[in-house]
This record gives sequence, structure tokens and C-alpha cells, in this order.
Amino acid sequence: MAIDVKGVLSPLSAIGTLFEHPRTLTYPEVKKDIPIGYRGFHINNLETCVGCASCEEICMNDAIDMIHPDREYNVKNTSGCIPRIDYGRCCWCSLCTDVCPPGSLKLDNICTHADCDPDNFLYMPKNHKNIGEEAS
Amino acid sequence: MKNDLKNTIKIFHGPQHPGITGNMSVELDLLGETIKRAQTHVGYLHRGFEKLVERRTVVQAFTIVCRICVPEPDPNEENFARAVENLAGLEISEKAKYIRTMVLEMQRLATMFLWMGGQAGSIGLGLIPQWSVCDRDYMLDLFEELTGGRVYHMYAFPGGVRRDLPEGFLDKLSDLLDYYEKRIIVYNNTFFDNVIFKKRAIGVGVVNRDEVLKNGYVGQTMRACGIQKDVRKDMPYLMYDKLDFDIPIQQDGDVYARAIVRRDEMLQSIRILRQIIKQMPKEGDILQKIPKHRKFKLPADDTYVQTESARGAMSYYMAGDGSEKIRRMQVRGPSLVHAYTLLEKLLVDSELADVAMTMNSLGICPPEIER
Amino acid sequence: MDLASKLEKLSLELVQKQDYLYSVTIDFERLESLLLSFLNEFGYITLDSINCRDDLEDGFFTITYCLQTEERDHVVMIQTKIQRENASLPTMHTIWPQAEIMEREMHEMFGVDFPGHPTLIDFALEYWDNMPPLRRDFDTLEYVNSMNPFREQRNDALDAKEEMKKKREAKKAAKLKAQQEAEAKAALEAQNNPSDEVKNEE
Ligand code: SF4
Ligand code: SF4
Repeated sequence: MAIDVKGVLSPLSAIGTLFEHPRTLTYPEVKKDIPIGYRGFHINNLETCVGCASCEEICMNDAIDMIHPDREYNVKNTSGCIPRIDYGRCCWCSLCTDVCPPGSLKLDNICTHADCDPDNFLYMPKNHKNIGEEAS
Repeated sequence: MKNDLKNTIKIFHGPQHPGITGNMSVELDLLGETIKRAQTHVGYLHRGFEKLVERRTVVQAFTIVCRICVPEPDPNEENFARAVENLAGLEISEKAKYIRTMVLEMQRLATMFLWMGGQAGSIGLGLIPQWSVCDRDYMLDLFEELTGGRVYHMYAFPGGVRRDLPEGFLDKLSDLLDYYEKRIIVYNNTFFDNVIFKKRAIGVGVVNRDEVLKNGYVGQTMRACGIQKDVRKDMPYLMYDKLDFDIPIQQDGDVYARAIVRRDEMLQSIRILRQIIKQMPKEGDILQKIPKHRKFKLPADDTYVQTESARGAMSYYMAGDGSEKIRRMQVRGPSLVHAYTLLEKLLVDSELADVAMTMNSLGICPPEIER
Repeated sequence: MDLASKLEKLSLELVQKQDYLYSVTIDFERLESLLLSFLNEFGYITLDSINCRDDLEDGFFTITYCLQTEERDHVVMIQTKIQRENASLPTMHTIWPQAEIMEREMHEMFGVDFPGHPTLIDFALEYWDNMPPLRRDFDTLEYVNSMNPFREQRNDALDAKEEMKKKREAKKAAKLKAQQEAEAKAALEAQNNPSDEVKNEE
């Protein structure tokens, strides 16, 4: 049987990659920059959120609860409630941000959260000013 | 049959075997190293998508269809969107069509790289998976920028796509394609021409050409038997009738032939993407206005759509009933028939060590069998 | 189309649904013979899929066989209706081997019986003893709630509609109260004022 010379020798070209720069990042020192528009954690501009619960209604994972905030942020808030999201259920589909009428609910590009207590996965969207202003 | 199985031992290959592309197991009766009987078992991953969809409105159902297949969610999204558009009579703009075609082809490339990792890993070439998964990640980075998600994009919405192209996206894609073209040469040297792969793969898992069409085998399994069929050419959807590409075929029908077909398809995908980059319209709507999610009603009608995924034709049957919910959505991916009708037959009288390789080359993806 | 005229001879109508999609509706008795003539005479050799749709309101299942020719350039859906109660279909696995697994799945998910089918065993749901799950009268929400509790920490969730109503009422009440207060104040002022005016005048 003839020896497949090319088939034996050509894989050895992989040795060349020994001298290449590694493609991986040395994580804590170098971080990957996450692009704008990444679907990460929720942020909500409480000054413009009107408490309409559209986001609660469209979320098919039942991830959103409407609860009272610690104080009143927006006098025009019709129900006095703001959304809280259960990150044990959310799938980051961003339908809730699409329907939000004043555009106050948005997804940020921050996406790290680690905890061993599942109750801490009930997440209050961070209050964030200056979002949704273009929309309104 | 009974006598054949007399001195055999029974082992379960999977659901936690590294060579299995997901959660599925093959029950094997072994006589020494030779398989005498094989039986596929699924049920480790049943998530009931077809049932879940019935409870949701169209807009809500859209977010779970991509989860039907993990390595390549986009053909599912495309099928869902197109089925809804067919039923509701929506017409999507040219730009949205181009973007969707582009996403499908990008996804095909990404899936091929993942497949290459699995195929090489299943015969013990540990280097190739490391490289190819890394190369796939560059594509995922682009997806991240375009759609906001790495694996589940939730991008092709009924009526168009959800976001416009970011600035400079096409240039980045074009750079990546240059890089991929160079990489495929490297993979040629180290994997496709590799004598180890050839010795293992040639003549293993040969699919009988006469069965292919009748039994409904699709994708590379079909094309590696010399049958030049592809949904993109035969029933063109989106922009595929305006793009120029070939359908690569091979004649032998074994694992190696399927690998070569896949490699050639990667080159074709790159070719298609280059044309799309050139032809992409600058201006245009990306999303049709659709009614609010409680008011989006589907007529009482049904439709059947097909998309060529990276593993073969993926079909959806969808029926509405005049309400805002979908009455029935049935997914028919390539895996169901490949994993049962084909795999059970192919494995008989082959070696234990070839199971993972054969399975990988048929493109079996368990999440899509169980839905 | 050629097929349409052939079907007309059998007094069946071919409906074009989409560009590459046609459908034929047939009654259950003639289904098997029609499938065979599609395979043997019309050249539709591929069975692409078998679907079942549950039309609960009308009491039947709609079964769809999707067939393709060797060209694979269009799909024909052959549709028939069967009774929901004791549903049963002829098995096609001797003609199309892939029908075996499709029928096994349909048996599990809808409870359709296939007399003569060799392997009507469990498909994905092992030891399932409830109603076949894809029938539409099977309520997934109820089933899930009976199996898994909801997370208790979420019990403080409020009903936004109620809250809106409450807030509206509170606002109304506050308005009313403010009005009353204002009136009372005015009345008080009216009481005090005359003397003021008198003083002022002085
Ligand atoms: S976040 Fe938006 S959708 Fe949700 S309650 Fe506030 S305004 Fe309404
Ligand atoms: S992102 Fe999706 S799943 Fe998460 S809270 Fe919003 S609608 Fe619900």
C-alpha cells in the first residue's frame, strides 16, 4: 500500500502555530469589550417609567413583577409600581424593552452576577437617568 | 436475530459521552468490538416547545423557537418568521431579506466550525476542536454586535429583522472572511488531508444511495451520495435566487465524503457572503409595522416552510386559527430521521469507536429531535 | 400543472398555497390509496413529515402528510381528518421506513393508534401516565403548578391594574379632600374676613 506522503507530512505544519501569539485573553487583566447593544442586564429610568405594566404583560416567562419602589420617583406613574425581574426566569429576549411606551426600560451591556442564593436573582433594574429621552 | 444477540453485552453510548452532540443515547449490543444492534433513545432534553408555542401569542412565541436547536438557532428563527409572514401575508423589504440571508450564511459558517470540532474530536485529533471553536467565536463576536446575543440571536422577527446593521459591520465581516479563507487552508493541511482522518473515515458509515431520496435524508448525507439537491436552489427563499453559488457534491457517501462536502460548502458560504456584502442596500426599512402582540391574529390556515440549515432541510408546519395564538407548530429537522431510521441501520456491524464519528457526520442534534 | 389534471380524474382539487406549496384534502377512507398512488404513479417518493393538528372545538385531528418528488422543488400536503376519540391511522412504515419514528412520536404526543405498527414504545417521555401532552385539552400550566411550587419570595408582586385603580381612587379622594379643605378654608376665611374688611375700612 502506497504511503500517503502528503497526508503524513502536511499535518505537521501545525507545529508552526507553536510560535504564534495565543488568541486567548488573560482574563482579569485584559477584558473583552462588550459592544453597545449587547443584551445584558436591565436598566430602568425610574423618572420616566409610567408603571403601565406592559413589560409584565408581554414577558412570556413571567419574569417581571410589579412592586412599589422605596420612594416615589415619577409623579406621573399611574400605578405607583415599577418592574422587578426574576433572573432565574428571564431569557434576555428584550421584548419588554421593545414594548415599553416611554422607552425607559433598556438592556445594558453589563452581564455579570454571581450569587449562591437564588433569592438574590430577583433583580431590581438599576435606576439610570438619561435613557428613553430620545424616545419621548 | 435472537441468536445473534446471544453472547453480546449491552452498553449505553451517551447521554454523557463526549462524542455525542447533546443529550441522547444509543443503546448498543456489542459482540467484541462489533455492534450487532443499535437503538436510539431520546428524552433527556424534552422541553416541549411545540406545546409551549400554543400557549403564547405570536410575538411571545418568537423568542423560544431559536432554542430548538443549540448549534444553529437561525434557521429556526427564519422558518418561524417566514411561516408567520406567509400566514399573515406580510411582505418584507429587500434590505431585511438581505440581512436575513447574511445571518443565515454566517450561522452556517459558525455551525460548520463547531461541527469540525466535533468531527475531529470524535477521532481524537484534539488540536482541531481548539482551533475551530476559537474561529467560531470570532463569528459569534460579530453576532454579538449585530444582534445583541452570542448564541441565541432572536433577530429575524416576523416582518423583518429587529436591528439595523451597526456601523462598519460589513467591513468587519469582510475582514473575517479573509481570515476564514486562510484558515480553511490550514484546516485542509491539518485535518481534511490528514492521513489519520482519512484512514478512519473513508469507507465508514456508507449511506446507500438508493434509500436516500425515499427515506427523506437531507443535507450533506444526501449530497455526499451524489444527489445535487439544496433547498436554497430548488425552492429559493429570501435572496438566494439572486446569488450565485454552487452545490458541492461527492459520490462515496461515507464520513469522509460528507466532511469534504461540508468543507466545500464553507467556501460557498464565504462566496455568498461576499456577494451579499457587495449588494447590501444602503437604505431601506428593516421591520414592517406589525400589530400589537394581543392584536396580531393569524388566519385559520396552514403553511409549510423549508430552510436549508447547515445540516439539511429544516421544515416547519404552522397553522393558525383566527386567534392571536398559534394553533400548531411542528418542527421537522434533519435529525429525527437521521438519528432513527439511518443511524440505527448504519451502526450495525460497525465498530464501537466509530459511533461518535458517524453520528457527528450525520449532523444529529438531539434538541431538535425532541423539541 | 400536470398533477392537477391527474387529481381531477380522482375528483380531487389541488390548491396552491404558496409558491412551492400545494395541498389536497381527502377523506379518511381514500387516504391510503391516494398516498400509494402519489408514491407509485405521480412520483412523489419522499415522505417529508407527518403532522397532526388538534382541532379540539370540532372534535377531530387534522393529519398532514408532506410529500416531495425526486426534484424536491415543491411540497404537496395531503390532509385528512380523523375523529379525536379512539383516533387511528393506517401505518406507513412498510412503505416509508421513516414513518415508523414519526408515527411513534404521534402516538405518544396525540394518542393516535397505528394498528400493525411494530414499535409503539415510548419516544421521549418515559413512564408518562397522563393524557398525551400535545392534545389541546392538556393544560401545561396546571401540570407545572402541580409539580413545582412558585418561588415564594415573589409573593409580594402586585397587580398593576389594581394598583392603578387604587392610585386613581386615592388621587380622586385627595382631590376631593383638597376641594373640601379649600371650601372649608374659604368658609373660614369668609367668617374671618368681614371683620378684617371692617378693620381695613377703619
Ligand atoms: S418599564 Fe416601561 S413598560 Fe414597564 S411599567 Fe415602566 S413604563 Fe411600563
Ligand atoms: S428580557 Fe424577555 S424574559 Fe427577560 S424580563 Fe424582558 S420580556 Fe421577560
